Amino acid sequence: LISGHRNNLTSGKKILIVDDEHDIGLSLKRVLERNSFSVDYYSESIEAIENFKVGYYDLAIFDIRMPGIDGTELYKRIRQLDKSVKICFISAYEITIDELSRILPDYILNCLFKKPVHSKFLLDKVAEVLSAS
Amino acid sequence: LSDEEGDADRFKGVVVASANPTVVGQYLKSQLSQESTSSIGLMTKDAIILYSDDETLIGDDYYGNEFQSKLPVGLKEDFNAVIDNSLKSSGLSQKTLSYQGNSGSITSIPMIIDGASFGILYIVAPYTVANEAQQIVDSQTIFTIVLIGALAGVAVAAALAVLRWNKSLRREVTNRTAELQDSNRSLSDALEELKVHDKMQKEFINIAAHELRTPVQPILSMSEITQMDNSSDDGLADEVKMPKEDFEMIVRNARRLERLSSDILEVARIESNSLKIQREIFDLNLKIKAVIHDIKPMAAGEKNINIVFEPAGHPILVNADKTKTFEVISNLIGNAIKFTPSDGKIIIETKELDDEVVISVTDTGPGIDPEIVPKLFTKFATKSFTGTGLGLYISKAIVEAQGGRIWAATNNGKGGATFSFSLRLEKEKNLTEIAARETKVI
Repeated sequence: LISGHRNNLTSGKKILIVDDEHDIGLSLKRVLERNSFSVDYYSESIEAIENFKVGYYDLAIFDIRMPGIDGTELYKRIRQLDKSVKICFISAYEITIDELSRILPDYILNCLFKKPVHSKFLLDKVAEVLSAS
Repeated sequence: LSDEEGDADRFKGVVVASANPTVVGQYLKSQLSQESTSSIGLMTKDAIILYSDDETLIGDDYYGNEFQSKLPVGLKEDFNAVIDNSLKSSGLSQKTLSYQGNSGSITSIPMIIDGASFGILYIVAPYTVANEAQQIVDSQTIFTIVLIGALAGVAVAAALAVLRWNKSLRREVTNRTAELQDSNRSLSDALEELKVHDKMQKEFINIAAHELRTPVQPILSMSEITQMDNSSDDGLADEVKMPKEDFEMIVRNARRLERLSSDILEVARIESNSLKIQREIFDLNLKIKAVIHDIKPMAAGEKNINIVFEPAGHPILVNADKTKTFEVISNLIGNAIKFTPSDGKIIIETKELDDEVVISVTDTGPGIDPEIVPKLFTKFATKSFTGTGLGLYISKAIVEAQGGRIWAATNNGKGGATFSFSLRLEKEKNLTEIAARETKVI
């Protein structure tokens, strides 16, 4: 699905996925792993925080609406632990990047996936975010 | 004007009485001696011409250019002095005029009606008309009787009418104000309800969108991954192979999507009042047994839950929608299974109370979260991994559309929760009657 050129660039990059919907987390993990990424998946934010490896991940993808610690709160917590990890959001709700920016004024990456996300779009966007300096 | 007690503060109305100034002017002119060629004018205390020999001036401002330009230059000053004086004072004002070799006079007198200055009357005569003016002033008696008398008569009648009208108006205004306040209140209540409804509707759409999109993601991702795995430069292979787990994920989510879409359609039917109830008489006990038969493998399977049915000893006949009632019972038992831990027990009972039957499902789960209780039967109030969050809302609509009630309770002490609903009993007597009617029709 993605070009060999990109594949080489992103091969082995480490991605963290947090989504309370098990099947979504697992299916996204499968798609990313199939394309040479190394993926850790957690269905609960608290679990992701407890197991978070500072400086290890290149990219994190957080579901926005989750019970307990939601995606935006998780963003704040992870940011405190790791200043450099790139963070994307994913949601099945009707949320826009503007609304997200209102909740998180310091969020400038503007990487928001809408479920259902097509594999090609996911992989292209992930490659784009990872290759940006 | 004031009311009967003369208390002006108690009167909040306005009376307007009118008389044609031309008639008044001509009447006054007729009071002048016939041999004089005097002219006569009337103006309000604001110097608006009410009557003049030159009718085009009526309605003009005395001090305006129009009128002033018609005054002969040599007379203007004297004329204005007399009028000024009359407008300011309450006495008679007169000046002798000398104009182009003729002498004459201008006399003006304020008109006092009911003690208040109303305007002024002025007479221009070719010679001294002090007597004539006085004659007119004297004739104010006649004026009063004929005109002011008439005006006053009309005014008093009007005042009394207005007074009565004013009182009833005040009553009416009070009533209408109350009515208006009431309708304003109901309008703002309705607006508030609309806002709440609108907000709930938006929230429903948002959650429904989330719920519908969620199972699509794994189906899409697993299908795309399968496509990747089974594609070469020649395209997709003739026979597609996929790991069992991936296949199961597709099936699981397709089913979830199917349940959800049918539940959302049912909600749409409920909310557009197009839920159709097709009544028929059937034995509720048999229906419950059918549900248990269908659901037992699910209960007995992973969690080893024991379902106990304690029916009343005889057929329980109801006149209800068989399919939809089946849906309600399945939903309640399904929920009970969901919340009952492994090796637990679910008890289903039917009890006859007067003219209704109460069906209750008791589980041995954790009971109902007190926070959820008030919104238990609303859309998406509770949601489990396998549920749509719409089951209880739909069940409530079905039960109520059949004239029954649905409720829930946490069993203090024993633990677990009991969900119950009622349906009207179809008495044997009615059945016989129905049978008789049907026979007759045949």
